[in-house]
Parts: sequence; structure tokens; C-alpha cells
Amino acid sequence: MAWTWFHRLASPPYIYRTAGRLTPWFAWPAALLIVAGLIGGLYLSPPDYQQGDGYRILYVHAPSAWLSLMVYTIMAVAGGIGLIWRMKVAHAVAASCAPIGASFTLATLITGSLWGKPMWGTYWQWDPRLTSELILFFLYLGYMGLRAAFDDVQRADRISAVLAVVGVINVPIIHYSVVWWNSLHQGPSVMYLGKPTMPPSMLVPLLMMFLGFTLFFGAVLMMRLRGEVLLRERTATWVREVVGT
Amino acid sequence: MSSYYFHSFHGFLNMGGYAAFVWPAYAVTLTVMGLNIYWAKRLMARSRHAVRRRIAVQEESRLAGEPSV
Repeated sequence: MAWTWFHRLASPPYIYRTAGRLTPWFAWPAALLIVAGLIGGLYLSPPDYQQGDGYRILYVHAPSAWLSLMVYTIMAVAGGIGLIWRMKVAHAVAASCAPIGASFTLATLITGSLWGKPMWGTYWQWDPRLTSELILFFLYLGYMGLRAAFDDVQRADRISAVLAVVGVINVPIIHYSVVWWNSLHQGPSVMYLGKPTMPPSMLVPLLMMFLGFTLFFGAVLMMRLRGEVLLRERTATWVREVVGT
Repeated sequence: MSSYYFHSFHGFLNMGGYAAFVWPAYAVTLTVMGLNIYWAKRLMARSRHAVRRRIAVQEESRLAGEPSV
């Protein structure tokens, strides 16, 4: 009995319907939080005492960076579950994650570069944090390239999942790079020794953006997952009724 | 349009002299979000199309009296 939820999660029609039902529950709160976070971050919050209004890039850079790492971790875990339990839906989740994660990794690199120019005097530096984030972008591209190289979906699933799982080692490297090495990039600033290091007028919009971006990922993942499941199940009879003729 | 920190709309657009960095950063991020929605919708449309094509092929072979694929 305890395992019925696991079996249901492995059922493509159940996932297709559930993902469809969940999408607005992610999308609407995400839209509200992001709009509120944009107003708070760009307009209501005070300028930084050192960086003036230039620091406002933080409100899009940090949540994008958070997604780049979180999405990769989810992709690797889903790929691992797919490899171990041969669960098709888990592979569909992993495949759905890749373009979302890749695009937010690129956003992280570009917004970081735009922040680096006025503050560090350079768009790019071969710094541990920047370099490991660039490697993350290449891991996403490699994952997608590998998938595209196989016509057989099941082989593409298995081989790309191995890359995702091996590449997850890069996630803690990116996270701790600013602690382990002498990096140009600043350390974590939301929390330091359990205490927030910024006033609520800055912290509240930033947390809204973090939550908003996370929910946005949830909404896009649900939409992509439906597409992935439908494509993989196109020979099954249940898809006839959901698509209609 | 003024807030506690921005005294005019022009001041807001100017972003304390960092306009050339702040606005492109926001534009890039919002573009990425828009693209993600577009790509997800396109994937769904392609999958629906693939299913319909599959059904059409099955119907054709059924009408022709061949075993279904």
C-alpha cells in the first residue's frame, strides 16, 4: 500500500494530468512574486552604500544562479532515479530540466558579466566561480547534445543520465568555490552566520525573486513534462483521448 | 514618478549611472523567461502533432485492412 504513490508517479497518464493541473498553481504565484520582486528590487529598495544602483542586478542574477544549480541537481537526481529504477517518467523529468537550466545558466553568466564590468572593471575573469559556472553551462549543452545524438529515446535517456549524474560534482564546486579559493566573486550575502546581512527592504524583494523564479521553473517544468510524456507515449492508447482526433 | 530613492522618472531610468548595465541584465533575464514559456508551448504543440500523425497513420492502415503498426 505504501508504494502506491510511487507506482502512480511512474504512470504516464497520471503524470500528464497532474502536471496539467499543477501548472497554474506554479505559474500565478510565480508571476505575482516576480512582478512584486521587480518593483521592490528596481524601485523601492535603497541603493547599495558601495555599489549605488548597480547592485540591483543582484535581483535577477542571484535567483538565476540559484536556478542554474537547483535545476541541474534535480536533473541529476531524476536521471539517477531513471537509471536505477528504469522509470521512464524520471527520464522525462530530466530531459525537461535541461533547456530550462541551460538558459538560466546563460542568464547568470550574462547578468554576472554585466555586473562585473562596472564593479570589477572586466566582463570576464577566469575566476573559480565564473569558470565553474561556465562549465555548468557546457554540461547542460553536452547533455542536450548527447540526447539529440540518439534516435532511440531509451538509449538517449540512459547515456545522458550518466553524464548528468557524473556532472553533478560540479554543483558543490560552484557553490563552495568562493569559500575554497580566493575568488573575485563575493561570498554568500543573503545569510552569514545565520543572520541576514542586508536590511529587509533589500532582503524581501530578493526572497520574492528567489521564490518566484523557483515557482516559474516549476510551471515551465510541468508544461515541458506534459510535452515530453505525450511524445514518448504517442503509441499508447490513452494519448488518443487527451489529444482528440 | 518618484520614490524615496529616485526623485524623478529620469533618475530611475538612469539607475545612478549604471543604466547601461542594469537594464540589459533585466532584459536578458526576462527574455530567458519568455523563451522558456515559448519553448515549452512549442514542445507541447509538436508532441500533439506527433500523436495526431500517429493516429492518422493507424487509421489509414486499419482502413486498408493491414495489421496496425
